[in-house]
Amino acid sequence: MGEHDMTNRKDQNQECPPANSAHLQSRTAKGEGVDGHTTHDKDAEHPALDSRIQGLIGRQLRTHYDQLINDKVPDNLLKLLEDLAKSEVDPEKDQKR
Amino acid sequence: MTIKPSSGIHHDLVAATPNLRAFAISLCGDVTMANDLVQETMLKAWSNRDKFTPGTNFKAWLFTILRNTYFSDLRRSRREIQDVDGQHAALMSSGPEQECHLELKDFVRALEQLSPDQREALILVGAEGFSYDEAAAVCGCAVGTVKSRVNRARNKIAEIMAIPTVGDIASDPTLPTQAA
Repeated sequence: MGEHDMTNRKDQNQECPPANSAHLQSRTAKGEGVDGHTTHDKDAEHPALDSRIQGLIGRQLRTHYDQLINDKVPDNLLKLLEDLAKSEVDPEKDQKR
Repeated sequence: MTIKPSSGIHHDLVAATPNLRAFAISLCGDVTMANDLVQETMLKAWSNRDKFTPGTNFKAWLFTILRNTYFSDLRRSRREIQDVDGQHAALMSSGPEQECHLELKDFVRALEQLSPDQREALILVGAEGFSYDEAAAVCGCAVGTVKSRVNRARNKIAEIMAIPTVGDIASDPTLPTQAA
């Protein structure tokens, strides 16, 4: 992408959830741990895996995911965030004009 | 020093970037595509920062924007969904000797063979630690649907990796474990 479009993208509002969505009321993203829990759910189309297998898959999933999280963020993404932050008009500077 | 109104959101965006990127890479399976997706998400989040209520779950809000963008792009480009069933069937008929693949790279390969819905659900719940309720809100579906997708994802991974279940010890290893 070349120039960053700093204007409001009103046409893409539907992909941004409204502020009063129920799920946004929870303060943290920490959820129930799924380690070792078997899922006994009538909606599940398949029987629950035993807890050992679920635990194994969970551990591999988190090991893999942690590697992704620890991967260095490309500079262009961090620069974009800086540019966006700088693009905001400084109210104090505005008044001094 | 003037504190800009959105300096808090800027800080939160920077802090969320590694997770946003990990989620994007898991969804896309492609780092370049994932970086583009994260970039687009950041722009949308910034442009719509007035729609976010401070004190609510910022990460969930970002994740919702990202996955909505991903799935709408997916529908728009009409990309072929990986032939999961075909690949799956090929693996199951690989012969009498079914080695148990427990290496991480095998896990990653299995993860890539899940449908995007299943992979997303598994990542949100199993890797990011969202509750089923939070994950359902991010995905825009019912809680039961998320549970079902997570369960199917785990079952499919177990089958692809040929992880022996207790019941397999006495049974024929060439037969599928449970109905796909």
